[in-house]
Amino acid sequence: MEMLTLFGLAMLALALAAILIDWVSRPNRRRFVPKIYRYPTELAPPPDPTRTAWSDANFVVPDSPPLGEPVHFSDGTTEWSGSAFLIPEAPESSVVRTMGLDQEVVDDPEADLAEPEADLPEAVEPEEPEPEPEPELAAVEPEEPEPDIIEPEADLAEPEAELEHDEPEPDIIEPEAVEADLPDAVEPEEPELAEPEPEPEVNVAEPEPEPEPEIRPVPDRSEGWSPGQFVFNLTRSGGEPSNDVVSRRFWKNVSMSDHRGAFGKGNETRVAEGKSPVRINPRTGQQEIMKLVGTKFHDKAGQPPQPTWPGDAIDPFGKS
Amino acid sequence: MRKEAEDLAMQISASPDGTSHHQGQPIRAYITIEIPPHAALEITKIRANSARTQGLVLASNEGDMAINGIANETLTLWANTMPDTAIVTNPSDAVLTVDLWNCWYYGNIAHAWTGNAGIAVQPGEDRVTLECSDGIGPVEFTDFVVGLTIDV
Repeated sequence: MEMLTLFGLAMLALALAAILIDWVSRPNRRRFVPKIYRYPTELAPPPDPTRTAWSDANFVVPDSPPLGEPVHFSDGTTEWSGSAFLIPEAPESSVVRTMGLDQEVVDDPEADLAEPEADLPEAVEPEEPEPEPEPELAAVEPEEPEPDIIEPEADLAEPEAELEHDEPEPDIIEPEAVEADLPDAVEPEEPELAEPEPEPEVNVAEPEPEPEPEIRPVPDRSEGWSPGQFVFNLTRSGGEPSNDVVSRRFWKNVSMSDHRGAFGKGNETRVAEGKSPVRINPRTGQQEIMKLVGTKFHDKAGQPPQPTWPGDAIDPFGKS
Repeated sequence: MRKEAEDLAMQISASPDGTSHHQGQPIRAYITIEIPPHAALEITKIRANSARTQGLVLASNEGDMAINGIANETLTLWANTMPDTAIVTNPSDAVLTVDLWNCWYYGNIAHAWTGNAGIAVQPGEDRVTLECSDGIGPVEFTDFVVGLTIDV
């Protein structure tokens, strides 16, 4: 009990000390005034009953001003935010419309319409210089770098052409042969296209138009099939051959070609029977079967199916 | 040793240890090497049959390999596109076990492990040479020859 009394007296003494310090520290012994209203001229303004909903007066909504006019308050101030937005008549000049300056032109549309043609070039200056350097660049750049580009291609074409001779296999080399032929087709056109604008040169640099004609037309399909014929031939009844039928036809055709030995001796019989080749994956010990991609006639516009072994290796040097 | 009715790949797959023999030397379908952490495997192209595009498949068993800015678990280096020396790195902190085998293009198809395909390994002082026979035609271990060196 004594401890409690002592504690209470101590607390009382502390409170008195705090009050004393507070009284001594205030400079003018005046009533506390929030800082924002420190000076008499900045005292809180009296509430305006016409503008506040929580004042003693009823809430008053000012009358809507006419279109294009600001809201006029009782104290003489105006405010545009409360006014209805006036959309001016759009000027006839298409240039102004494209610049999105319709609202800015409102006050004096006629004057602006007269000026735009004179002013816009200044405002549009960043746009106009762009087309100007373009032709300059187009005239200079394509001429200089393109020979640089074409020359290495021509250089590359030679070794590729050599490789072609070294590698008699046609299926792999076909795309290379196309690439090797392209520089030859481009070179004679260069001098003609060096003088005119670069656009024709761009067309020349496109190697795609040439391979396109090489795409075979969709072959006609007759009814019935015998070994050596088109694998997508219709069935005897005129129906679409199933995937299995196409696969069987494909492998029977392979067995009649020079590629029949490409799958090993163990597969020769299978291929002759129209079955897909198989192999043993030595890493897994599992048998893998060759898959055919594009066994539907319309998958590749009638192009023969493509056989592939399972696997998803990546060629880090870009060609596989 | 070799049955006439079977080709090399069939003999290898039929053997319990995955090894056949040709003229007294062991032939495998693939070989396995280990690349230490952050080490590089240097693959040098020594000889390639120009009749068919030859390739070397590298398949990691547990992680990516990095080469030419590409990281993947399975890579194929083709003789006609790879540089004379290609460097495969192991970017991980663990040993990378990689299987290697020969592949080849024939009839616009990438083949492997068929016909007379097999690898003869010639160990050297500082590098191992792989002599690969592709699956086309008779057994010829000159179809694709590459040297392997590990730079730690």
